Amino acid sequence: MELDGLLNWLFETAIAGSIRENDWLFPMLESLHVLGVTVFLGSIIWVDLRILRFANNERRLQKFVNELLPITWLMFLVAVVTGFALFTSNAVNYAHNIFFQLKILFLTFAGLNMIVFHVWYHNKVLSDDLSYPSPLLGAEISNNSQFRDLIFKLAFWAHGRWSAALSVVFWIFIIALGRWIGFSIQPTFSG
Amino acid sequence: MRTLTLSKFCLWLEDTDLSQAIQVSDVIVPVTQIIHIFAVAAALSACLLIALRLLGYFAVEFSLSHTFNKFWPIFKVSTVVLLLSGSILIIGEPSRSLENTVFQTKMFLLICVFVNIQFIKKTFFGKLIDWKNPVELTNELTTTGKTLAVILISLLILIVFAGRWIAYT
Repeated sequence: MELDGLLNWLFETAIAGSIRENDWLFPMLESLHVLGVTVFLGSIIWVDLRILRFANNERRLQKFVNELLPITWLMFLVAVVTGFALFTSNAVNYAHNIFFQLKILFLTFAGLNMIVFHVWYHNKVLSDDLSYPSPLLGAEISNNSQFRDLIFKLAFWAHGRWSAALSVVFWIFIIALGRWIGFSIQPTFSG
Repeated sequence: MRTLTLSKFCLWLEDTDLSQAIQVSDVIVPVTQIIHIFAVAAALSACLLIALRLLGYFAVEFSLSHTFNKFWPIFKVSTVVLLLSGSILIIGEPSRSLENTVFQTKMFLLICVFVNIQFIKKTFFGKLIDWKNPVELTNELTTTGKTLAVILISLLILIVFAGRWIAYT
């Protein structure tokens, strides 16, 4: 009940009203949201694939991450700000939408996964960056002994590369759910 | 641009079994749009990284051709996925897209991206195929490269905006 009160207050704010009623604001915010989401998704998946050693292995992970992360965070910020603005325009309906709720749940999972990776595994992954070939690539593993095969698999688990795999899965779900919200909710935009 | 022939074609397309199947399905359009968005993310990020390489913000320790050869195939494959998924969406609602000026503008901008990339290839490849050090670039080529990169990024942003605005026009 309290939450609905807050959502109603958000819905009644002048900004939310403007977003609903202005011919340009809602489409403009949605376009910015799509831009933020797609560039964010593209950049974070490149980082995850690099951590998993599926792509760009010739580049040092640290350098690769340092170049891409500013774009990732900037676009994440754009997606969050525009996403929140869109949310206010129809706050109560969004909050009660199952796809929106699942999206927020997966966003929480993705956030926790990111925290776990940075706290426990970030340095380990960087330190073994050039030591191991991809633990997931069958072709590389098949050239090695069973013992090395086991070492690679252990490195995948012990050094947190699983976190990058999870990240890919979470973000795919988040984007898919985000798109499905649009098909399961009655828009209030009157433009 | 809306011509009589185009309108007739849209009406014909709308009446086909395939279009009808897409129209009545609750799943085809959302799933196709999700695939479309993933392909947009792949295409956009691949092109953006090429543009950032030209601007000197990404992978400067490697040659331009290295970055280009790595990401351009991803853009091409993504574009095929975009064309296929986009075609399904068009067949489902032909008039909304084919007769829509914003959609036509989006297609024009996409052609501009390909032309822009060809300019990049023509300007830099051959001359700088083994180029590793940004200092070795002449000022003229640096300016050309940066201009083409800024145009590329602008085109991509406009395409994303146009794609979203189709729904509102």
